[in-house]
Amino acid sequence: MTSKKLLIILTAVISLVLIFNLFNIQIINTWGINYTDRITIRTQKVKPERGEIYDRYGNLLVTNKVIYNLMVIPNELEKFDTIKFAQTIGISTSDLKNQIQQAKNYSSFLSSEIRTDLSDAASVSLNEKLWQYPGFYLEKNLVRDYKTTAAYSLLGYTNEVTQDEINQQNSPYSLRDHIGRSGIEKQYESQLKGHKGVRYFLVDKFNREISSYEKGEFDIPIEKAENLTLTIDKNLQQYGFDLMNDKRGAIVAIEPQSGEVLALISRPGYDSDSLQRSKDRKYFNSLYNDTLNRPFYNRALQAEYAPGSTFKVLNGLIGLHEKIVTTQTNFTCNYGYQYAPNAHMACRCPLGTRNNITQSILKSCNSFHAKLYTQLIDSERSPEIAVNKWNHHVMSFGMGDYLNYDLPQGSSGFIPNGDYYSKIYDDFFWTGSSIISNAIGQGEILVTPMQLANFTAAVANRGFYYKPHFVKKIGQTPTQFNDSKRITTIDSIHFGPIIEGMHLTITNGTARIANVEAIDICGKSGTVENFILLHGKKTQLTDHSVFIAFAPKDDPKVAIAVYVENGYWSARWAAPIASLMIEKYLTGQIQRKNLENRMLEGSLVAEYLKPLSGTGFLINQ
Amino acid sequence: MSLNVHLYRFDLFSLISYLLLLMISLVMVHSVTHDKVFSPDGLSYAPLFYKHLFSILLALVVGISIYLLRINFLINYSIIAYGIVIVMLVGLFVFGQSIAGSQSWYRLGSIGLQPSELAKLTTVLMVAKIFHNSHRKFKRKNVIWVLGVIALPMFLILLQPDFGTAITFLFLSLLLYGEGLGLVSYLSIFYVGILFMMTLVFGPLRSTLIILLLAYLTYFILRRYNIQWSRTLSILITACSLGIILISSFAYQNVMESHHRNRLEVFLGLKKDNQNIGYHLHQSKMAIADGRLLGTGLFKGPRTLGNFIPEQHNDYIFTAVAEQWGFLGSLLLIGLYTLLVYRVITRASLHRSRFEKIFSYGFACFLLSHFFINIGMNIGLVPTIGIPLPYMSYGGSNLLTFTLFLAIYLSMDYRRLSVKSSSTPPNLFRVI
Repeated sequence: MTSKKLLIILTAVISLVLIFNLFNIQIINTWGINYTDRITIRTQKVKPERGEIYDRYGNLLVTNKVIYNLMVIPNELEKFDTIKFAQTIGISTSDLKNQIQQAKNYSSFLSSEIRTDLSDAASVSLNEKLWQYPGFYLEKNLVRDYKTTAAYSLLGYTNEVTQDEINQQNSPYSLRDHIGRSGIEKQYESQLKGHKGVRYFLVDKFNREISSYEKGEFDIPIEKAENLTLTIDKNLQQYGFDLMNDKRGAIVAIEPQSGEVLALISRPGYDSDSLQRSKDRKYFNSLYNDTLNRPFYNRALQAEYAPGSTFKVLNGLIGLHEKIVTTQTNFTCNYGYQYAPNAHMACRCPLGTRNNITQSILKSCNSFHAKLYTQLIDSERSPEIAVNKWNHHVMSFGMGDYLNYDLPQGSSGFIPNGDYYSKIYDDFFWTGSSIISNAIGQGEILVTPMQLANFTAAVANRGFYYKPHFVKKIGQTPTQFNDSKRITTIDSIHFGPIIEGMHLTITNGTARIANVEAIDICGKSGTVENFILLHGKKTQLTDHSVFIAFAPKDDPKVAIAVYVENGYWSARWAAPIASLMIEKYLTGQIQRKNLENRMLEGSLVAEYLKPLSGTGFLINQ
Repeated sequence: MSLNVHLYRFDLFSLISYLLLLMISLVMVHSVTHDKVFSPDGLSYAPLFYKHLFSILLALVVGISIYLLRINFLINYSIIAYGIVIVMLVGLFVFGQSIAGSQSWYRLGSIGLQPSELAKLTTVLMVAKIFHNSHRKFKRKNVIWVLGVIALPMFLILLQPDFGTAITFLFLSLLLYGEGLGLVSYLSIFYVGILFMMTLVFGPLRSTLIILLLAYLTYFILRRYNIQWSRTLSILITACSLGIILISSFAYQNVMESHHRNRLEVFLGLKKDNQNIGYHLHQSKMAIADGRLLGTGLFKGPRTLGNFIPEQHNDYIFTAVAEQWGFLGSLLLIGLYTLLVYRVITRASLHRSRFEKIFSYGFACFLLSHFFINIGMNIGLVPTIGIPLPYMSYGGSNLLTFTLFLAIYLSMDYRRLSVKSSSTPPNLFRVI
């Protein structure tokens, strides 16, 4: 063997060894390298800001703000001066130690919150000192910034998603995302949250971006969240909220010509801003456990009340339509009406008063409506048929219906039908006088304030209403409600005498306190007897104060329903509040300052405490 | 003479391979440096391409000038050249600039010169000269001379310390094969290498035990077949082995630099590390694996773009080829080198004059060793020792040295077919 041969063999061997190894690495991929994905490609989720919410005039109701959370990773902690650090972040030393211990119990390697919701200024000064304390860092998060505290009943609130919601299949959420929990925030969650984008990009060894991956071919573009424009009038909402101070109840105001909800107030309520910090369970629990005020119970949408005398408007319309009465019909009232041998329904009309339909509304005459209702029920072959007919008319005004508005809460209320009474009375031969309480809106009828306002709007429109709704525009696109017009079963000619009665109610009748110069208001008062079960006994409480109204009479711009729990008679709370709301909405200012102050400062807290006193108490004082 | 004859005589194949490699090198250096704003040390990467282009042009000019020299001139002045380079190597310890822990550079402004690269050329010339002087009577004295001539620059380079370059000089010992050194010598060297590795892997104590056990077994086997001197031979080999283990252990702990130790340990699998010492190898392997069959395409390799591989324009230029042109690209490169080396070896064997023959073999040895060690360390076959890839890596000294090698080889090859070895130099321009 010569040098030549040795060298050639060496060359051949070396080349083959190299080629073999390269084949292994590059073709067979014995390394199991998944191309470039493992290290160089980074993904970044791009989160759109949650959509903003505006009122009907473009005033900002909700936007977003930045908060900082102080986080800790226990495994990275080094020994530090706990006393000094606790002072820096403004909590006690023992609290700090507890928090760190809790964080350790949770996980040594994952981050836990030590303090949430640091303000901008606090976070800046903290950030400067934080380098001395390894293991702690500040995390930025976006939360909702509510510009008004009065609109929670329709806006709802957001908080952080739960682990379960993240774990769901195809869940668009990740840790610390906010999700709408109630109200508009929940109903329009998909529009408000937008769609997260995903960006793939390559980074160099210093983790600096070099370029997008495959020219962004696989990127998922961010979809901007939509801003919402509500039908709400921010000022009216705020005013209604203030008027309901220290009272339980609801106000709903609707624009009859469009079905747009102008204000929706339910009190007592909650603070959306405090609620969105889910870690602050204290606040949530305090609300949740308040079984007396029930702040999460949306009285405007969920509460089912008896409508009281306000229902006489509807019964009168049905009586006219069914030709039970005409405008010429007069009924006599003698301080009430003996509708059965030992049953008497009281009324305030003096002896021998003769009322026609218009007067029955303005005086709120129980006798007239009792007679009308018994004649209505007894006019058919059987009371079931008559009740069903009546039920049909009532339902056409949106009573007993969820109304299909765009909020996730609500109740249907209850309008009884013939079957219902047949079942209750079973073998008993029942007639109109058996269910005579319905004539004056007591009895079995239950409606929500929302339905009451919607019914008022239908009366204002003389026989039709639009589906109530809360959102005017999504982004720049106006919302379409093609099926929103609902025509009632009552002919529009019958509305004249009733509306005249409602107008006279304000000028000469039961609710003269609600009269506003220069505005033709039409209204109907209601005072609702109500009972609760107290210590196992049915106990009557102070009457609810109810009022429905619309204005102006001939070109209705606003229809409103006010319900004040245990407010006693209508003209005491509900009627003034309704008229103030109308005055505020139509003129923008309030002339009757004394009345306004009385409403703003009036409190029913003492009334609400009565059943809790444990002793006997007087009602309707 | 007609043009055809000249074309036939001239080793056009090697020249074309060389020019192809230079072109690939330019493209690759550009792909590695074009988008990098600054390196980790804050130095600008941008001029690297132009500096590389300048080196190539300079190497071509110098190469052509050397090509025109007479062979006799080289024979006569090889000792002087060798001497000058040895002086330069010694001078490094006084005037040299230290880069990355090795004092192996002279620096004039922005131009650096690495004498250890030139030493490769002059050492080969010197060895060829010894062979030339000894004619056919090659004695033991000459072998020692040759080994000494190789060992001197190697020792000086080891002191810089530049372990990698020194290692390549070992390949020159292949020149002695059949000229004084037999297969036994090479096997002995191989055995020493194995012992060294074993000492590292198993530790000196356990290695000693293994050797003693083996010696005991061999002794019985040898005695069984009644081989003469078996006892003496066994004892001798065992004693040598134990001595080597001791020296290895000592040298490893005291002579080798810590970064070499680390690299060796990572290479031998004694340390698992993808972040610090192993990072380089890990990243380079990832880049090569990324290439797959066809590669990611030029200027598209994520790891090349991402600056993941330190010194990629230099010792790791192969990863750029492998990532961007894939397996086919690597195959092309390996093919070019293999054919070039093969060509040089076969043409060298045709020489009658020993000077030319040994010089060409020496050139082949260096080319082969660089090519093997560089690509080998890129794919993790060889421990990481900084050896550039000839004609591909950025770096003027190496390119100049190997261009001179090629130019002299081409000149010798052309004149082999001429009437006399000392005739007038061939006219390159007439050929091309």
